[in-house]
Amino acid sequence: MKLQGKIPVEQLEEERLTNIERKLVVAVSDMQAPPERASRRMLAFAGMTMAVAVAGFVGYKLRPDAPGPGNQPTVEQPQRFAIHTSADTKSQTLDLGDAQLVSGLGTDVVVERTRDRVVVQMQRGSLDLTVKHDPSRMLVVRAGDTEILDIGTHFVVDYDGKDDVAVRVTEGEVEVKRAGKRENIAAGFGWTTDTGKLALAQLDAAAATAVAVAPTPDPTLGSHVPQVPTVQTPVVAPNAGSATPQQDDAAGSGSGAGSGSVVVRKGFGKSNARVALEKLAIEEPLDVGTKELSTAIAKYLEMTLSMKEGEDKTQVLYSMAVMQHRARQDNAALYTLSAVIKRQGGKAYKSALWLNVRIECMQKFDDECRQAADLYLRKVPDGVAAGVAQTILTEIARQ
Amino acid sequence: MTVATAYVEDVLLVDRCLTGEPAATRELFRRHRGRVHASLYRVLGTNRDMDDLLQEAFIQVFQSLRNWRAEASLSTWIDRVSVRVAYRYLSKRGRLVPTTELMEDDGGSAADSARMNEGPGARRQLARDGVKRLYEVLDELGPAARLAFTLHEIDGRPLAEVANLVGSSVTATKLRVWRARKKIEQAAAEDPVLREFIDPAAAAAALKESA
Repeated sequence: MKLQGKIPVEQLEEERLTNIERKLVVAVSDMQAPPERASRRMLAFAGMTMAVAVAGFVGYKLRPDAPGPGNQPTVEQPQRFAIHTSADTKSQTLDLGDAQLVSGLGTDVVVERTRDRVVVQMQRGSLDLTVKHDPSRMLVVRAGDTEILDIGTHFVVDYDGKDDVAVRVTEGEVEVKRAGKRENIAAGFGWTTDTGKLALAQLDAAAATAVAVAPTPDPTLGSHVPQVPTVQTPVVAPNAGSATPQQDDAAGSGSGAGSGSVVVRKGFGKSNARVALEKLAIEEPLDVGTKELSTAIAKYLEMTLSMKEGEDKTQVLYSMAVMQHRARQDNAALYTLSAVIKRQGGKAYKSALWLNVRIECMQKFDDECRQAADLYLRKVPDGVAAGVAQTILTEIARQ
Repeated sequence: MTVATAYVEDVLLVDRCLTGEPAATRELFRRHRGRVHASLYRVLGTNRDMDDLLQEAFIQVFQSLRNWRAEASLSTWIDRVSVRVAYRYLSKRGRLVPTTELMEDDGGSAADSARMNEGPGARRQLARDGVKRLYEVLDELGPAARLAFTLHEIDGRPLAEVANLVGSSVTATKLRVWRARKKIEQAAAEDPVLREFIDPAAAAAALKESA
């Protein structure tokens, strides 16, 4: 009796299969419904809180004694401007008339301006300042516990958002104040939190060395080396007009605007970004007692399967991805990494994000590379690796 | 893709499914739906409940995905789950419409007379009738025997694999297949259409003798 192959299977229509698939996705998501309902409750609570807050704010603004056109306060109110650039947006230019600020990628800055003083409060990122010297008005950049006083100049401040500040002066002079000490930094010199004053060439070299010797993309390393923001390069020239939403509010006629010159800071450049990418070591995999790649991969696989749900599998999966990468199975490695990255957490999450950048960007700086670097910067905005990722993004933007 | 790579991909896909990622759910379904549907079809025949059965099989798969310990390949494990769904369906069929009644009625007597005619149309009609008669006989078998027979004889799986899928010993599976075969051969002895379908050479010889 030979029946195999004699009964043709009637194929299901694509529409029916799609329908089943849709129902299945709903059913599977329902299997994980409890946490989702919990988060919805949280969202509802957050929504109600927001509504109450907005109502309160509106009520406050509409109160009878609220300042209006007819009752301006007698004390001069400072003008405030905010600059925010994410990792993948173009840099922004804020023109204050006698000072021009160009932000790098991943920058958060609040600018407060009064008649005799401009205070630039940096949260993080990179800022390129061109300031016309005006003895009647002082410009101060605050980055953490460091203050940079402008004395009519063109300078760049990089701040990692935590401890490290790097200042590079290309024209004129600034004064840097930190921990009760003051240092004047003239054109051709720089200053970093770790080293203090140094020549710009030394600062560049220090940044390059920091990247080259960094053993891991662990963001904590960022506090021990001059920040990689020194490798940033402005994406657009000042006055590129990409985003000056506060320009209309700015006082001054603009006649005293800064030089307007396009400043191209020294950086790694494309080839150097690639060098940094290659030299920045990846986190070592877990030791499974063998260096033989296929054996190690099999062991990691076995470990993954034997782990109970809820245990942190990210280190094992990450280790497997490292071995797959070393075995030149980059597609498999990326697939493995996706399992780690989807978890959005775990011990090896950051390392996995960096390995993802490394694999995607090793061949060329293309869209996949851009996505990987952008993801890394969004999740790990600080540290050496973040600086390299930012450099890559800048290079891609310039291409 | 090598077997090892496929295996690793399965492990990671399951891992993603367990994190509740809808794209992973869809991917797993798309990878295995064809094979699961084909197996269900061969076991149960054409069936208007097929959509529900396919969906039920995958719901069972996702519900018990945490239990997959990769001791078997993911495909084999999913097949095992599907076989259980088919078994439950067959067990309940007393309360359901028999499978053969769900088939389109092409007019059996007309087919009987047409079977001697030559031409591809007539042969296709004969094949359709043969399938129908075969599943009529299969409807008379118990669920275990039907599963064993269809998975081995129609789906072409080795006896050991069938035994593994239905959770039985190879000997018991072999016995069930043998009994089902006997039953079908007995039915074929009295039904020329079925005989023509399951063993055309024997049918041709019988026809020659009678002539």
